[in-house]
Amino acid sequence: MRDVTRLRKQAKSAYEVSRVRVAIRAGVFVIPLTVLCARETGAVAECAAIGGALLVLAVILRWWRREGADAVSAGLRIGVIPMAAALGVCRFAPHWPAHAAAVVCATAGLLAGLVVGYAMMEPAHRRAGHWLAVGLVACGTAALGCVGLGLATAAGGIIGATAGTAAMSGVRMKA
Amino acid sequence: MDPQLRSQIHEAMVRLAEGDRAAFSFVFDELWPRVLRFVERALPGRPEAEDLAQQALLKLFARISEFDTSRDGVAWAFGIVAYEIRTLRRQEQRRREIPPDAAFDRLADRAQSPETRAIQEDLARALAAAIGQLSPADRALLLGNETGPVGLPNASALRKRRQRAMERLRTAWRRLHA
Repeated sequence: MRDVTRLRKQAKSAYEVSRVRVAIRAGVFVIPLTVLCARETGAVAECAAIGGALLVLAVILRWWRREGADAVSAGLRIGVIPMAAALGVCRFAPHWPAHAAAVVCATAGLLAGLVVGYAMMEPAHRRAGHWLAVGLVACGTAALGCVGLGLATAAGGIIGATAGTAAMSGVRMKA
Repeated sequence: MDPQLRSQIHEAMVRLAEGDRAAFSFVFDELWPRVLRFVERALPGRPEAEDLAQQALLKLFARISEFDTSRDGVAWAFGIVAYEIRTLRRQEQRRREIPPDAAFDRLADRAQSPETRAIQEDLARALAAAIGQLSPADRALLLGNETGPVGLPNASALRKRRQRAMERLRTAWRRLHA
């Protein structure tokens, strides 16, 4: 009879490997977003760096807890709105001054954090850690698009997404 | 299995699926001996039974992260084990492998393969066990007594009684073999 200790280790390993395999599927969303932003903004190095960091964060959150997958999903949905706003500015209004683009990104991030955060969060997600994870992913996604318009714009998107998510987390946690 | 223990195993599987690594030991310690017994009952006297049980257990843990926590965890786990057993039997049927001791006994009978006969005998035993759980009235209805124990005059009433008896048989089957 095979050693049960060895079988236990193999079972644990199979469990962790499968969690990593499931977690890596975050790349299905993050990599195309990174490629899109690099193409649209021309800031290839910046987008690659932010996209890489966002992918690592998403994989870790999804691997650690199933709740992490919910946080990544919510964060991507929130962050994609200011990202799309920034890409729109890049495409249709490339000559806008930097502060105007930053306002667009910040406003889009704030609204996204409020609206999408409210629509998506289940009452079960009341821990501060969950909202922190959502906020980090949202900021990373927002920065992905906004960085092409400059660091100030990226900062605007991050601030907006953070404020919107934080405000919504306060409402939800009190509810 | 004791319903309370079954519920505890299910709760632990849900926590493990959600990423609580502390639940791993409990799930492993409770499932492994049961999986092994289940496979050994399905493949009595076969040397590959333990290998198959280990393989099924590893697949179970590889898939538990994607387990739908709204379903019964224990039934889900044994569904995976039963699938592995069926896969082995299908592979053997395709390769026409015959256990050495059965080969000489069954050479004269070419109507069915030994694999098919073994499966049918297993099913017959399992069905007999489930029928044994029913009341005498239900057994009489299902085993061909046309009118039932009290000579029901109405054909639709008889049909309804048989339907209910079949439901009870299904419940007994699930209780014994799920």
